[in-house]
Amino acid sequence: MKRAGLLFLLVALAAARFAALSIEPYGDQVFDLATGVTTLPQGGVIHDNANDLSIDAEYVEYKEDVYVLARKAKSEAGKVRFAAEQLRYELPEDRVRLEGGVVLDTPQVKALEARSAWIFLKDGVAVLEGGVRAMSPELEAEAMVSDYRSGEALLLAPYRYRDAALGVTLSGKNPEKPLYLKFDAETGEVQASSKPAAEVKARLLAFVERARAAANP
Amino acid sequence: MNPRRAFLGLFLAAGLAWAGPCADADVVLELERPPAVLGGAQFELDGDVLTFSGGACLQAGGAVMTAARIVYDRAAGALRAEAVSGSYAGWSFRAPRLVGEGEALALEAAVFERGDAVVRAERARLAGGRLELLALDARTPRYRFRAARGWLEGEVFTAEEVQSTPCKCGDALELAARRAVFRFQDEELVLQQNTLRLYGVALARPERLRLELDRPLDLRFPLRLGYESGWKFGVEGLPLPAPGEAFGRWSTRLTLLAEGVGGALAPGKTEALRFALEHASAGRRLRFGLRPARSWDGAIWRERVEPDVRLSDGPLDFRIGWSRTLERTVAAFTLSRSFDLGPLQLRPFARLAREEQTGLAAGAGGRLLAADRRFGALRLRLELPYLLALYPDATPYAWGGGRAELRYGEAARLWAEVYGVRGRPRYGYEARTAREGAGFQAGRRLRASASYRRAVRYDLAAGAVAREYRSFAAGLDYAAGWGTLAAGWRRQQRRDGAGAPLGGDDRWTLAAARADGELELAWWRGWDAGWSPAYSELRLAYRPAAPDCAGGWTLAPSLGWDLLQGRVSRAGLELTLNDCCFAWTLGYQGVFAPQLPGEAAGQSVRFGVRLR
Repeated sequence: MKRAGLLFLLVALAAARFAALSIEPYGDQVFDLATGVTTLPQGGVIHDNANDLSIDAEYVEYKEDVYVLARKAKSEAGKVRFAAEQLRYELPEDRVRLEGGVVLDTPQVKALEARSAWIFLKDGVAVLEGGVRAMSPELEAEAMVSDYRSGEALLLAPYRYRDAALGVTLSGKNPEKPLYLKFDAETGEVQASSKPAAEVKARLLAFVERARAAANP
Repeated sequence: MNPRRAFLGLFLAAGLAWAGPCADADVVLELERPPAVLGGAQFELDGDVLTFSGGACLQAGGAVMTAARIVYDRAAGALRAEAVSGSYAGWSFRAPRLVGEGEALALEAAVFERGDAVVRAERARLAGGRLELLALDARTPRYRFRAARGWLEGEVFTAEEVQSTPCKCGDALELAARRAVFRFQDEELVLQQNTLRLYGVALARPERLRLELDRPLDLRFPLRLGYESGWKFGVEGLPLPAPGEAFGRWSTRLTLLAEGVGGALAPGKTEALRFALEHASAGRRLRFGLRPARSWDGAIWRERVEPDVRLSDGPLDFRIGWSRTLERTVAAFTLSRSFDLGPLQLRPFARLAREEQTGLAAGAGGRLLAADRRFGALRLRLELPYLLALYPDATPYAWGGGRAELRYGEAARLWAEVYGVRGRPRYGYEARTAREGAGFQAGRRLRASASYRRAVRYDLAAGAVAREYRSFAAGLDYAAGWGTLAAGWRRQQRRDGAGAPLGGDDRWTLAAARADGELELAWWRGWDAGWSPAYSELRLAYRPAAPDCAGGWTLAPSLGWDLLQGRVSRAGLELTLNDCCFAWTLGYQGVFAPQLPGEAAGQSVRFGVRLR
């Protein structure tokens, strides 16, 4: 962070305004002229009005119109809330990468945990991978893709899903056969199927592919 | 890995660590009430209705089953499956419908099968690791039984209010039991608090009965009633059950039979009372019998007591009997045992006998399989039977020869045999005939056969050849779509020991058989030593096949026509009433013109009953 000649130390007492992001630092704000990267070592709150996204983190680093990197971050995008050890918001792609101790709250599923996740903000889709687990409803999966606006989700095998009201637990081991779930936010009713409509399955699985490609560019 | 991740991994692994065949399905579902595991290729949960399709699998209460479709409706609290089949405790089962009832699963109109045993139940409930059957009907090859209720727990099947029957259909003979316990491993059924009923009438009330399902029941009908130059009536082989004995496998039997009671007095008429007590168990047989009898010789009654005693145990055999030809008591003590030494079968013996002669004999008999070879479909077999007997005070007796048989698949068979003797046999035990013969059989749908035989009978009392028989036979069989057609001819010629002709006879037969019965037309003719006709008779007989389970009656008529005298020679009629469980037979046979040597005019009536 310390680069001689090109380092300015700015102490801001009021929030600075950018084209897309509004920044409310908890402490210092360090701007690196050479790279254009701003660092908030004491953390802060970042709002992206375009995507109705806010990030509250203990450490933030961002580059205007390129990315926001946050550590120990809690975030909210519309009706979805998420937290992770590390969050990287990629502005041109409108996507968020979450890594380590990911916790996601969607209107349908609360306290959804995973090792990593991608959130595609424009599409309203979250892809969670690695030890996916939730308490309400009770589920576990190798991976999960959730369209949190429509309430549709796919659990990728091996998975396990328990419907407490129905008193049933579903599980599957075949990676070729994900479980399709559709939550009705108003009634709380759940539809489940191992054979969803082909276009729904193809659309959701395409996000998994996109997430995997983005994680290993 | 941090502790939280480790816990999560463990949780996931524990959750997916299923056991059982349903667990390998693409989608697996655990149901909490009723407790069950479902698996299948396709799954759908829509609102309250949960559907498994594309070959669904259900595992519950120790049973594993598959169904085309399994549906669970949460609102109705109902689990339903159709066309169910599966297995439980070594039984395979199928049912058109399965429904969940709270904690239990119920199969409707279920069929359970294990080996040859088939159990049908109107309802079968699986709950708490046990199977309960309601209104069941069980069948093994030997028995059928019905019960109001039954439980299958491990290797034990318990039933209540049992009704069992050895009848193939119907239940005229029925054993009702309050309770039955069936142990599959022992193949043994124990019935408690029983009532044995015949046509609904209680005959006996045994407290405990054992049925061994792997052994056939011996249910010979013991009552005898008939008429042939006097009435014959009584019991033959009436079982005397001992405590704890298996039903139908009684070891002790009684015979008490009156013979020749009433009727016209004629030379040779015999009146007798036969008594016998028999005991058979584990290779041991004991029979004690007596037959006091008297015969009318035309002037006076000749009285005698015929003994019938037999004791056999392993290699030991002791008998006392009556010889009709010698008209005296004969007895023998035999020690003999069989050894199989590869191709050689050896049966040494030692005897002390009192027959025509009295004395000791020792020797051995058996056979040597000299060749048994296959060349493709061709099979050659050569056997050499033999017997050698030694006597302390007479020359040895030997008999032996060979039989060769050549087969070509099932299509053709050719055989020839020749046996000769050296010396004289002293007792009936070792006496064998010297004989020779050859024959063939060929064809499948249309089969032709022919044979020739010559045999010599030895007269032990006279110590010389008494008779020589030669027979020639030919036949043609045709298997058509509607049944079979058979034509045959057999000629027998008799000669005395010196070779002088004694006469002979011819038998021509034509028979047509179908599934519902058999019609036979025969021409029997005989001639005497001078080749003049002794008899010539046309015989026509119809034998119906037994009707199926529905029961009904059949009539089997037979008629003979004396071609020499131009009149009816014989007539017979047998009426059989089939009441599903029993076949009751009443037969009449009248001989009006005796034809065969030794045949006498007279009438006979026979009554019989047997389990179908």
